[in-house]
Amino acid sequence: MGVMVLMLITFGMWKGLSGALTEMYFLLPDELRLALEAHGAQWTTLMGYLGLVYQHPVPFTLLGMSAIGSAARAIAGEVEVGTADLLFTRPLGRGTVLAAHVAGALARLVVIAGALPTGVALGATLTHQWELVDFGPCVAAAAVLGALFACVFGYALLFSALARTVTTVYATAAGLTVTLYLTSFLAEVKPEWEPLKRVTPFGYYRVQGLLSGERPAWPDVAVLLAATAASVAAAWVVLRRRDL
Amino acid sequence: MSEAAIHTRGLTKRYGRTIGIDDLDLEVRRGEIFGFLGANGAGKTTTIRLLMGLLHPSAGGATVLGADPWRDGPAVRARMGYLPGELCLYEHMTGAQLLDRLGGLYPAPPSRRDALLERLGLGADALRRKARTYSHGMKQKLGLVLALQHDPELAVLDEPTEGLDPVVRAALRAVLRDARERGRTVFYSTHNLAEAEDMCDRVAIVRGGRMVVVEDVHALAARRWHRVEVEFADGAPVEALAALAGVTVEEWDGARVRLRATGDVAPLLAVLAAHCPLRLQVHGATVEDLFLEYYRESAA
Repeated sequence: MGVMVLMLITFGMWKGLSGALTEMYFLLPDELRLALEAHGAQWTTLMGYLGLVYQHPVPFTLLGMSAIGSAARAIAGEVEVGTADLLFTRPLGRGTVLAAHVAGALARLVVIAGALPTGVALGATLTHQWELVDFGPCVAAAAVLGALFACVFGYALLFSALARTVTTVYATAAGLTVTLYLTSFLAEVKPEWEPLKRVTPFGYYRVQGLLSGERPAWPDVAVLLAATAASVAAAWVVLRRRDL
Repeated sequence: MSEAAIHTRGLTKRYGRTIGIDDLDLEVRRGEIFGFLGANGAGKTTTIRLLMGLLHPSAGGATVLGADPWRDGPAVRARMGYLPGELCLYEHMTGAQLLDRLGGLYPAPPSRRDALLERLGLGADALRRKARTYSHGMKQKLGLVLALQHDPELAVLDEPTEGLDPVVRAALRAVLRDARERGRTVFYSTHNLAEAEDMCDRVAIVRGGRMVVVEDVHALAARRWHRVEVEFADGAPVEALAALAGVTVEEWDGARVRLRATGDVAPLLAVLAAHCPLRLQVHGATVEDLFLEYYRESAA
């Protein structure tokens, strides 16, 4: 809901202020404008302006909280609260329990990421600006964003399989996520750090390229989902062997 | 069907340098209520967690209903019921939801649910409430229904009477005896000696992670002693008391005497009654006392 509201505000603002925003953009110092463009942030077109929302802290925070929270509750949370004794002593394999948690977490991420293109459709309809929107790339960018946070969920789940407390999982997963995000940011603004983009999942989320249709989504989605699958597999191996 | 319900051989669990249980050999026959007796920290819960496949043994192994609980966990647990020592429920769920959802994971239908709810006194109103509103006793009752509702071949109950009032304890005893009559096996962990005697057919005593002894409950009762402290108005009849079989005078101070009595206490009571005691205190032996008894015997 938060993401949808954010999108509606975006469309409302664009409708009323697009001229002023474009004017303001070109009044910026060249260096700042180039830096913003390098980071994929420009608002001279509606699609460019939407790119800002696709990188806005609101969807990032919601997706991050959902991904890390789901992972933390999945194993470490059950162990910490004591419900692991109730659940893992039923006729269920540990893999089945893990798979159920993965399915639930991915479904939540799909809903939150899906709120972005849903918000675009709603905003474009309500403000009568469909002619300025290219909807396919909006869906593609949301798919990459969902895959990005599925990847975050994957490594948080691995931490959860190793830990006995939710706090440990939150601290390690959130710390790693911030580090990976900053690495990606630095790789964008510092040319000598550019190769680091490949080692952080945030490096695979290139919004402007996706929204402009210049870049297909599937290679990035494939890389991120492969990383997710590898993390989930590692979590399963750990869970299968650990004492509860 | 002829194999033991539980069989362990050299079962060991270490946590780093700490030993949870050490070289435990155990055999629980089918169709018995087997008491697993030990003080807190003796290794009872560790053993149970190994039997439930929650822990991996450091050495040795166990078979439960003929299968390895670690390797064949889901298949074995489908035939078991389990009440944890510290029961933690999903507190946002109602009692009925917990019974339905957790019970629904078993292949067998919850055929005993209604009878258990009635006998343990857990009514429909309670089942409609969320688990977070339950008292400790209600949680324990719900845990017992969860463990027994599908009429498991083997029920593993860790301190099942914790938080239950005497009436419900008596009802639980009847429930477990009924289960035994139907050929079910109960593995009953407790730190309470009197409770083990009351509920079980055979009892194993563990201490410091090691097995001390496995005995028939009648043999255990025969070994059990009481400490009796009596005060008389006109001096204690020490000679008469010391002459009684199974009675040892431990301390004597004119009018006051402290005795240790084993076995049949009727002759002791007759002597005491004949000398009009002013005050009488009786203390039952604890599981630690019993362990020391076995320890003295083996040292001798």
